[in-house]
Amino acid sequence: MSPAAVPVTVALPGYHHTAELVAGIVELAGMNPTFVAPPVAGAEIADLPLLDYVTRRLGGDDTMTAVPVFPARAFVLSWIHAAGDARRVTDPNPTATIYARGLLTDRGERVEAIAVAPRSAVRGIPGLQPLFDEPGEAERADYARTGVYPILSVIVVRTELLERERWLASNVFRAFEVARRRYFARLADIRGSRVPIPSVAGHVRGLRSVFGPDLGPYGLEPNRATMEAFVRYAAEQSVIAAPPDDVAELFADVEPFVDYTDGS
Amino acid sequence: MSGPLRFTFAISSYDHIERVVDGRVPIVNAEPLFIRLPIPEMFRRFVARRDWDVSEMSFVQYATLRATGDPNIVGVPAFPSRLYRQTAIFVRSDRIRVPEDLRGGRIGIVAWANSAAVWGRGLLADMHAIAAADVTWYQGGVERPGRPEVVRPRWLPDDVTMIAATDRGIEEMLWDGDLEAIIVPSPPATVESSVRSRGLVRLLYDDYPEAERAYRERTGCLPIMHTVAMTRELYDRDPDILRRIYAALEQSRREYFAELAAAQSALVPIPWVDEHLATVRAAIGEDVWPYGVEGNRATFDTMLRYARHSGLIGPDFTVEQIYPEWQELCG
Repeated sequence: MSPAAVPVTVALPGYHHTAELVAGIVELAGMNPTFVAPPVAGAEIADLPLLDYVTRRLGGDDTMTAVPVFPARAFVLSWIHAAGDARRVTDPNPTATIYARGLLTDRGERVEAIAVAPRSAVRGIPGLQPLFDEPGEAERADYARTGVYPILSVIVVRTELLERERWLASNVFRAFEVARRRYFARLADIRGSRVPIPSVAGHVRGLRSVFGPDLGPYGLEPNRATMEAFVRYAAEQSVIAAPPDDVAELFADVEPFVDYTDGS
Repeated sequence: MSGPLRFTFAISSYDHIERVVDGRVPIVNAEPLFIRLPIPEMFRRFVARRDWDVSEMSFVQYATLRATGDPNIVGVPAFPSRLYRQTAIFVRSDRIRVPEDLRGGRIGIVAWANSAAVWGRGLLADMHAIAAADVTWYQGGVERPGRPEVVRPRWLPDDVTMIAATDRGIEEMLWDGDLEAIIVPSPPATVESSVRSRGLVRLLYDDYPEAERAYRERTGCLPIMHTVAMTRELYDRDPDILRRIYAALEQSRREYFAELAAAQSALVPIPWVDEHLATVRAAIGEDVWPYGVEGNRATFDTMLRYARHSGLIGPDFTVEQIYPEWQELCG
């Protein structure tokens, strides 16, 4: 690493698809990163809940600028529970709750007393009933219709750093994209089991019928429908005043990823 | 013992083991030096030269060594790599349309006792009633010719035909049309690209997820490719190290599954993995990646049956003899 590499603190939870960045196997080119577990005030690069970023940014705080890297995402119809009397259950992920309420509204369903949390997180809490019997089917049908694969978090970079180093946003984008691709290549490896999930290569191959060849790509264009749905839902739910004219305003402009695996 | 036990530990990259390697889950009272090299080199240098004290190694080879009375390696029943070997069988699509077409055919393997070959022969027998004697087996290197003699395992029935592939590697023989299929742990590049482009050479199971599901439901097993083992010398120096290494590997495995279950953090980006795991659990039990002996009986029984059919172990070798030191300590 060059001694002039830009020192950056990166606040990142232990995502499995970013592990090779943390291990140094995938390089943040031009940067000398120190990885820390969030939350960290003052980190140059951080994983933020999408809701936090969007509300700050649209509220006029542009300290941080997002690159179109979305580490945390989840289909959330399976997270929706009819809450009955147990309305005090805290929703552990407010971004997911916005998607859940928005998706239900789009489906023309009632959305009053719901709790939004993965089934594994609320197992055993009385009074909670999963809203969907076969949520996977509903999620796949919704995705096929709308292209919305809910984004729960986004990578943000200190704006002042992006202004100083004009190459940095694209390098951050590229490094996360390489790590993500390498993770999915590990899942598809038929030579050895890199993760302890039996038949995971077959499961991932089956997902192609839903997603096409790439599963959850980063970048704004493949995620435009998901981002537009989020800001529309957030506005409908009065979390933000109005959606931005173009969701591209929320992101730094980055060079699209090109795979030069055969070159250097 | 005075001070932590120092030893070398060769192991590849696995998400369920990484916590031990990077130190988040320490091995108690130990100072391991982890070494990562290409898998065939790690395995060869451990078995042939004992270049490290603890190593990932082939499970079939480990069990075969124990079955032939070799006391020099002591196993830890933790399993880095487990795979259904439906994805190790590659065929010429001009000749093989369904698995039963392999009966009477010629199949290339890298070694009779190679794990992929043992599990591959087993699944052909269990799922399609193709016995070892129904096929002519060519044994040799994938890219280079093999050694002129093949070593017939001690208990191999006489009706099994094994021929040494001495002039070409089995990859070339397949393309030349002198083999109908190969069973290999790692497909060579020409085969891999042919599979991808749906060329002449393809996977035997076009729909391998479905083939794996059917096999899983029939046998209840999750084939073990690799185990962990240590030299007898290290074990003799500190027998309890067997328990401590196992405990760390087990803890790391548990933490993986805890993260996978904590869906609200979205740390593992595999959509609908819960649906997939539910179908796996229905076939093989609640724990989908068990370590130890008890939780793996169906898999061990299947593997011993295959190893017996392959003549690699005798009729008297039992599950209890695979990890006797561990069972005495922890079982």
